[in-house]
Amino acid sequence: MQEIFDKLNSFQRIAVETDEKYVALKASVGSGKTTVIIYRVLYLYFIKGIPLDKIMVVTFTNKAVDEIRDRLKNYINDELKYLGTFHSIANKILRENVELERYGYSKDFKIITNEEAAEILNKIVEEGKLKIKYKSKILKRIEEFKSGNVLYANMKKQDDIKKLYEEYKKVKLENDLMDYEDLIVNCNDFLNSKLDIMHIIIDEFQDTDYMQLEFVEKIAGENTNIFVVGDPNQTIYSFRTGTYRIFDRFIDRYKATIYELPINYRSTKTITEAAAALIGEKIYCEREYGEPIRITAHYDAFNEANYVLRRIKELKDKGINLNDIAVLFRRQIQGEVVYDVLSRELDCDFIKDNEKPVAHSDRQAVKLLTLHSSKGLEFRCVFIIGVNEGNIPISNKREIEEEELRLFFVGITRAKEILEISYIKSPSFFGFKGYKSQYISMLPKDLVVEQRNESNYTLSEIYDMLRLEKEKSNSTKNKVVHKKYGEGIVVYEDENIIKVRFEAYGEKEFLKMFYSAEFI
Amino acid sequence: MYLKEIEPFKNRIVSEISIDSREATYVDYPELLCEELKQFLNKRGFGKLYSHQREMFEHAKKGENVIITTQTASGKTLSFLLPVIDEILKDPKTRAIFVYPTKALANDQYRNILPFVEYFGEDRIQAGIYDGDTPPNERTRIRKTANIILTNPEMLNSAFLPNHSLHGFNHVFSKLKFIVVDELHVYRGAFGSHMANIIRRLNRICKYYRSKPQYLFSSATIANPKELAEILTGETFYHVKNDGSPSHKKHIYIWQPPYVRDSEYRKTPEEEAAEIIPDMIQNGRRFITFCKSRREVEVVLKETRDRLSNIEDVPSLLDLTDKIAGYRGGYKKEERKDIEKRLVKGEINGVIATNALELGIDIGDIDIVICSGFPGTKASFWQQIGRAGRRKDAVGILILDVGPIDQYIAVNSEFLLKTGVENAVLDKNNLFIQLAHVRAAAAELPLTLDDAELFPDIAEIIPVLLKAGELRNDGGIFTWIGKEHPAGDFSLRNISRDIYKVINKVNGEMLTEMDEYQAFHEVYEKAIYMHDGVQYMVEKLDLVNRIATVFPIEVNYFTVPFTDTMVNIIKEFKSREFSRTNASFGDVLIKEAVVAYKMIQFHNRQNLGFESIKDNLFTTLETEGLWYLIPEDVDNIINSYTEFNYYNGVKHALLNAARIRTMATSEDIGATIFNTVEKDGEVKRAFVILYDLYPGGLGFTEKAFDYAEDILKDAISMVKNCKCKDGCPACVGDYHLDKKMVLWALEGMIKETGESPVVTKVVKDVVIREEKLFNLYELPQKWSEFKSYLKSKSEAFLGFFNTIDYVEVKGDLLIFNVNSPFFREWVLDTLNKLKIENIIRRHVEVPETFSIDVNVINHDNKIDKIIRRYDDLTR
Repeated sequence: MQEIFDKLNSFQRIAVETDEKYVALKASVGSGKTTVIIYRVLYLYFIKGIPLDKIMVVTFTNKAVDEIRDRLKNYINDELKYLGTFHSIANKILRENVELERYGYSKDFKIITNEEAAEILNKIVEEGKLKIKYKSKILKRIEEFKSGNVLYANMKKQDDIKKLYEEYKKVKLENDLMDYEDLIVNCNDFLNSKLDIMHIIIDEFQDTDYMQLEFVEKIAGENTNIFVVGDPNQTIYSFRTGTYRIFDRFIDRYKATIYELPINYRSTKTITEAAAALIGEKIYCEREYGEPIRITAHYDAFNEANYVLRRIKELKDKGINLNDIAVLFRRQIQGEVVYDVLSRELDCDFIKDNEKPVAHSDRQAVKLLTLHSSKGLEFRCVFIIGVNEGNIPISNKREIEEEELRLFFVGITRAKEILEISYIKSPSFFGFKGYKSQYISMLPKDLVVEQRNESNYTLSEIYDMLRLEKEKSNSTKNKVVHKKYGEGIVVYEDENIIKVRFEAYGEKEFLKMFYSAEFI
Repeated sequence: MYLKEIEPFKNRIVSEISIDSREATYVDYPELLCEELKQFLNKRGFGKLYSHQREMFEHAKKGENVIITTQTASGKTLSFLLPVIDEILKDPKTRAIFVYPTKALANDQYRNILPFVEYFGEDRIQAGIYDGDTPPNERTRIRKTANIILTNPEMLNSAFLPNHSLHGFNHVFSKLKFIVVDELHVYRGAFGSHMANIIRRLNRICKYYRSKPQYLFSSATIANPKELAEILTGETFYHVKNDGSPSHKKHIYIWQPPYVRDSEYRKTPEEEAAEIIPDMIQNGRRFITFCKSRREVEVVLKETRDRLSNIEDVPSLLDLTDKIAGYRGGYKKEERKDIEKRLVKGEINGVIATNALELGIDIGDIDIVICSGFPGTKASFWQQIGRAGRRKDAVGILILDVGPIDQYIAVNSEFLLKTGVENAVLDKNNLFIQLAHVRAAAAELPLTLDDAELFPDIAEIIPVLLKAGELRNDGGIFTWIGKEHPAGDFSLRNISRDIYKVINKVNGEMLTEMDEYQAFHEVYEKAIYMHDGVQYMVEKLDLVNRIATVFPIEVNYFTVPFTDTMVNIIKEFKSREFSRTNASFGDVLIKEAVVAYKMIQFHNRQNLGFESIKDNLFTTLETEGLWYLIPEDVDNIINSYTEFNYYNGVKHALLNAARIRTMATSEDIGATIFNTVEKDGEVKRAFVILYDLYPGGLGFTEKAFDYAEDILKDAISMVKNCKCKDGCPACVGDYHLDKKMVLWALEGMIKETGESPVVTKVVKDVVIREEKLFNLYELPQKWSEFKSYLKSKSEAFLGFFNTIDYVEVKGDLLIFNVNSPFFREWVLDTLNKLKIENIIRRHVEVPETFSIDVNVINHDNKIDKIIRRYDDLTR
């Protein structure tokens, strides 16, 4: 059994085999942290003899849960009792370890989706004739209210948000309903005893929020070991959850031992160095330099999407699997334009935020997702579109801007081999500026190929050029006849262009593909 | 309808046209019309349809493109709506775009659609106006849910097409089943060429979204509606032309203004209109007067109001001046709407309008239409006349101007009825317009090989755009990478590309904008430019920044430019010999230089002098032309007259005939004379050339080439039949020319006409003498009458004249009696004295030596009073 641990590198091995009670593992991007989590479980089970129901593994997405479960199956027949997201584990604990009836709930309480929650909220507003501003963002309003903000956006006066919140709570209780957030909050509120867990392993720890950390403290007993893994450089939810420097907090609180995974195995050296330049840190890379990062400018989102479509078709023709290709964007609305264009000719899955990906089991499809939902995923080829100022970063406010840079960092580090970044000149979405993001300029010049175009002619200047072309003349011997211009002499020819001088019209340049004259 | 107001003017009526009423042809509903629509029609009181409405429905249902050309108010809107709404009721996703040439018309037509929306409910049919005034949330609603979208070509060009992938426009295009274009006849010339290219772009976008809309068009009467529709769209059309609607009796008077006494000048149509309109208002008639320019609208309006406020025996309490209103471009939208509303309600009797009102806006029942001057084309004339008599018998009055077509109508009023209407001409392949739209198209959707079919010159255009860095070759397709919004780079209705600003130096305000051609002709240095009745002198024409700086001035003359034109034939495409001439068509290069100007005095048209222009004001125009060979014998004779250039007369006659044939205005076709030169420099042959005034040509002269022989014959008949004695501005363009000679030259192009006539015309310099109602020696008796006459003419210094109770005449001297010595000095100040003398001369028969003087009469008591009052204060 010991030999399976031999393929780990020394950094990974130290982490897997540690006996420290509290560990914070800072894992660079693509450094094999999932591998470490798998082997940690194997190590605890096979070497340390810890039963499977005493190990809890918390991950960020269901997809990550599936991956860990699948990989463990290669070694262990039984499943971990506690493997899931914070929400799914909280759900399990609520139903198994909490006397819900004492709090007015039953064991069969129903979980409502965000859409259902919004529906209930709207119904309350309507029936109670409540005055609520920004009704279209009602969930966001509730969320803000919970973090203590009664006002929203440019509101000057309070509305009925407090009343709405109270009523919502009541309705949920009366109907035995919990929304996603209730799962964790209620677990924290209702759970009265520690769980009998010996090891808690938390993945993507950088995006864990205070409430989830409280949840961990709630279930962890005196003897529970806590092992957290994550990359502080990939923190992309701190602004949304209001949770900052969670790693430092954990280390402080538990006097945790710090380990690192500094070597990137995922991306080419080109991509890794570009990513490192963004965050100003060194990332070790095992791979060689690969294709340079291609940066392109496009007229508008539609043209950009058409460009991506053409590139993906080229990649497909070269034998690249569509499943290995992802298109990433900052805002969901950008995805709609790309989806409209791509889905005309290719299979693609538009994975929307807060939405479980539809399982198209054996279908090959390009993935379209926001930068946020790309977290934890990797693809051979990645296109990041709309990298414009005003979109990424979406704002230049300091605390937002720092996180936006990490978000862009997450985006480019999804790519294993091919990375393309594009921006547009004629944007139509709110806030989008008509020029490239400052982040593009931060990428080292020797790693990128940038296509530029600075053309700003007026129509009449172009018309004058067109006329000038007509007037130029030269001569050789090839005679041609053109439908409109009559007889002329070919004065220049290469693989794309043919220039003909006509007696009456002067010299004209034709593209061979459109050329309709006949030689005589 | 009998028009008693015409009685006093009977002698001015040169001919009358009566148009009989026509019975309606009613038919049953078409079988395919859905039950719901039949019920709707029944409930609205339409038990039957007009035959053309059913004809259009049936052909539209077969999927054919249809154009309808029935008369104004014949229920054309319903003809469109039936097939469109029938489809919407069956497939609620159906989208239709209705294109109107103006925002006002879209608003007007929207009202006709609302009853359907109200009846079927918004869950079945939605409609909306999408133009520059539409607020954002309404725009969103229209894009998301409106089945019928009313808009204009500008919006299609700069909003719909460039944003096709965004904001829900993609849904509009993917479900687009109908494109309805109303008033198709306005899409001629450059505007038509732009529209044809917008439709090309629309087709590319629809193809991308896999839709194939059907076209439903309507047009006023023109010669070639089907051809126009087919050129615009590249599709074939079914033509609905049999009008099933009833029409009322119409009587049209052709009115020839009299000569101003002892002169060769006729009174203007505006002056004549202002004579008859007050009577109509007094009698409560409902009318529209169409003028040809904004300025004329204001002049007629002001003169009419002045007269109305001076009508004798009408108590001043009964003010009729607000019974009329002006209506023209430049009035605010709210003002125009208010006028339309008051007109419908009957609060005002009539409007003085430009052709802004010509396009279908419903203003209720109108009894009388007055055209102050022939509007240029028969299509437009009938459109204007059609504004009256929608519900009862009506009268039209056409007051003729001195223009050639007007004067042709004076002698041949059948021209209005019998001969065919004009062809609408456009050339969608004009290189400049094509270039503009290829750029816009490239930004909308990358250019592919398929576009070679749509844009014939694409193979020339793409290399230039590649070189300019506006396109990128992405593996065989060409993607736009140029600047933002290339569809915003041009105007659909303005001719030229270089726009000059005219700036008033005094306050820095911009008076107007004009294209380069106009600028060179109107605002060269020292030119007098007139705007809104105010004169300005041009201080400087800055060719680099395209700014003309002007300052207000008062002078007694206006300026007329002199030009020199050179012609190069680039390439002859086709040529036809007939009679003794030869007509050719081809590409030409026209170089025109504005070299000098003359100063012409107002009122008497005296030439005050001739100045050359220092600046190099030349324009080159690569365009298309039609040129006539002048037979050698004719050329020799014309050249033997050195005092006047008879070629100008030949050119004038041919140009007018060609403009009539091709529905062209003076902005569409120009003309000049040129000679081909042999090697040794000897003049070989002479030609008269007509050419398109738009770069690359818009097809006017190409069309004219097809009618080259008819145009020559028309020119002959217009000169021959002109009522003038020996040549006038109408037939030969210049009253100096003897029309016998011009006619001989034109006829000489057809057959040998033998000896040339002897020019007998003796031209005196015409000094205009207006009819003067007063004589110096009667003035003391008629002083009060004279004062109110001046008031009716809105003369200057009315305030001064009103203070004068009586005048005396001593010899050649008119003496004003004033009550203070200060007044005397004031009046006799040189400038004022001159001005007052001029006013008197204008309206009173006076001897050559006439002048004025001022007599101070004592008003001691008044002065005493003032002194006493002053004493009171100081005491």
